[in-house]
Amino acid sequence: MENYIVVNQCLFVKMPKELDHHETDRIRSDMDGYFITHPIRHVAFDFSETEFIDSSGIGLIMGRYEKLHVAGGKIFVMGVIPSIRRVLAMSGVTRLVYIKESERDVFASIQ
Amino acid sequence: MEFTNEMKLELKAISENESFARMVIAAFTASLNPTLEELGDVKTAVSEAVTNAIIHGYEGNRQGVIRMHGYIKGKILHIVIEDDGVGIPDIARAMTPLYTSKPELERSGMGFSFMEAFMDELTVESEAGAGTKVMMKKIIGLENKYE
Ligand SMILES: Nc1ncnc2c1ncn2[C@@H]1O[C@H](COP(=O)(O)OP(=O)(O)OP(=O)(O)O)[C@@H](O)[C@H]1O
Ligand SMILES: [Mg+2]
Repeated sequence: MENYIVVNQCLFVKMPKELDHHETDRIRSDMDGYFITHPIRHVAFDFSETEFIDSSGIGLIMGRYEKLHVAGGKIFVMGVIPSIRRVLAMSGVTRLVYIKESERDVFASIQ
Repeated sequence: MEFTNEMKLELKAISENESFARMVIAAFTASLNPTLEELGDVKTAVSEAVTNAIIHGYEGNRQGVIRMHGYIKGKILHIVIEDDGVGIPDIARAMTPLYTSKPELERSGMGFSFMEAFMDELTVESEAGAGTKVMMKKIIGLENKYE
């Protein structure tokens, strides 16, 4: 399955089952590769298969936010289950990102 | 009171072992009949402490050894995670929400805050150059306490 896809200058990233430091290091360097080869304004993280997140995942989202928001880019988070939403809320990251149900909702807000 | 159960584990300081440590603590906690939420809380706290030992304690030196000690007394789960790494010169500052000594690595500085929020008690012992010991406690299965 495709883990990364760029549509309308938005990089869609499929998050792994467990988003920890080991996984975030890998995802961060993959994303940096896309930033070099594609003109990317927004990022949409797909959490629909993710069951675990810790502060490393929060750091990834915050870091990408810092990178994109100065140029008006948005961070979208899709498919979060309640336990993950709780961690996002505790860290305050829910104030920086747009929580969406599906890819269609993301497309609607970047048109 | 005697321990109902006890486990000790030594791990190399490599990031692959973060998920391994979570699996071990989940299996160890299972005997207390935790709720899914409690299990998630414990896994997150362990993930934070082990990740800190790898990133900060040993600063990526894969030869470092992390010790995890778990024991159960009644309904209380105790977890101790220790490293012999660089240590923490100012523990109060390190535990401040959003404080990180490694912002260039895109760390959020939320690790200790999550350990505090997800466990009932958190104690950190450390000194510059003398390693770090993180001790955590959590009462598991509160809703079954009259069984
Ligand atoms: N085992 C350790 N050895 C040495 N220093 C540590 C250790 N654990 C934590 N620290 C110090 O405490 C600080 C705060 O830790 P905390 O886990 O809260 O945030 P972080 O690891 O920097 O970021 P995050 O956990 O959000 O990825 C770290 O930046 C580091 O300076
Ligand atoms: Mg940390």
